[in-house]
Amino acid sequence: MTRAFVPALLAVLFVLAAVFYLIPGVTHPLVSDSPTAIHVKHAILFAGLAVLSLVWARFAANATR
Amino acid sequence: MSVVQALWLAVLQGVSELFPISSIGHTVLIPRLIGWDLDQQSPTFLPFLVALHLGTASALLCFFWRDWLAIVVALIRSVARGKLSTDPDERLGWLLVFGTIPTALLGFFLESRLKALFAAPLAASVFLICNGFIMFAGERLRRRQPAAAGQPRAGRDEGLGLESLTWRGAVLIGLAQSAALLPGISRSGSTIVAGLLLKLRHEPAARFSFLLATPVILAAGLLEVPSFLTPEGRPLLGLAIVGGLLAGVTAFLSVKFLMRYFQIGRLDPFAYYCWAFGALSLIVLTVARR
Repeated sequence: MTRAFVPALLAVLFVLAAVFYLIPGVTHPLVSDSPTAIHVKHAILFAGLAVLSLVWARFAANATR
Repeated sequence: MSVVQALWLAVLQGVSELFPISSIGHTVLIPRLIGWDLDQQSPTFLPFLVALHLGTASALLCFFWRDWLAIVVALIRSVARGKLSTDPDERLGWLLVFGTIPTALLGFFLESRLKALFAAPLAASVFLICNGFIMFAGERLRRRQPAAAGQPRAGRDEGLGLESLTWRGAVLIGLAQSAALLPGISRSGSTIVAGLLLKLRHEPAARFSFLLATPVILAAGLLEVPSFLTPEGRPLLGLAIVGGLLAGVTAFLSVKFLMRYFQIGRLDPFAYYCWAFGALSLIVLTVARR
């Protein structure tokens, strides 16, 4: 298992979370109002975390070479 | 909200966002103390607040534009290479990223809950007094700290520069910034105190505080830009733009003053101010309630 596996996996999870918050009609946790509405800000937050995780994966992959 | 109220709020925001005296505390307290009947939670107020945030963030970007340009270029190069280098701008950029993450996460999930609980004038006045204690205690603790290796004892303003700040330190400062989610606790005050306790000198602690605040304030503004497009927001658009510009000008002048002040100055005067204003507010609000 390379060092890049964990951040890459995190990136995938964050992308899934971002998509999840864009699905209407589903109860979204960690929101302050309208749990079944689309939550664009939450999606942006998790997308940002996904990007950071990908950057981390890139650094980790280079570190193992 | 009248034009006069809007302009005064813009000036208040521009000054108090950067001075370590709590912008949320002042924007909650002062309108109540002078009898302005403003509903700051209403959808019509939000676009105005967004504009003030964008104005403040723009001022910080303008003041530190050389730093931000160097940091962004260094970060892009770092990501493209996939390796860290010894470039100080790159290092500072990653420290800012590390410091921003805790604030972003905590602010995102806790801000509305904390505001609902504590965005009342009485609570804000109590937290403002606490803010004073944070800064006073921070200065006292710093002076008692043992000196960093090879450095004189932390006295008037001996200490370290940003090159000594570690990843862990950046995260700790980011967590300290999250304390400002409580109305009455100052973002800049808590982050500068955290920097001082990490043995930074006042000026680099303040510089890191303002750099760290920029993406958070900018994001808080940008994420709410769609509020300008709502039926409630459009009528306020003109006033919001003027308010944003005024907040930006006052914020620029504030950060210019503070960066000079912290070359030799300390947080004590701000602590005394927070105690005085917080206590006065508490007394006035308590008497008014009876």
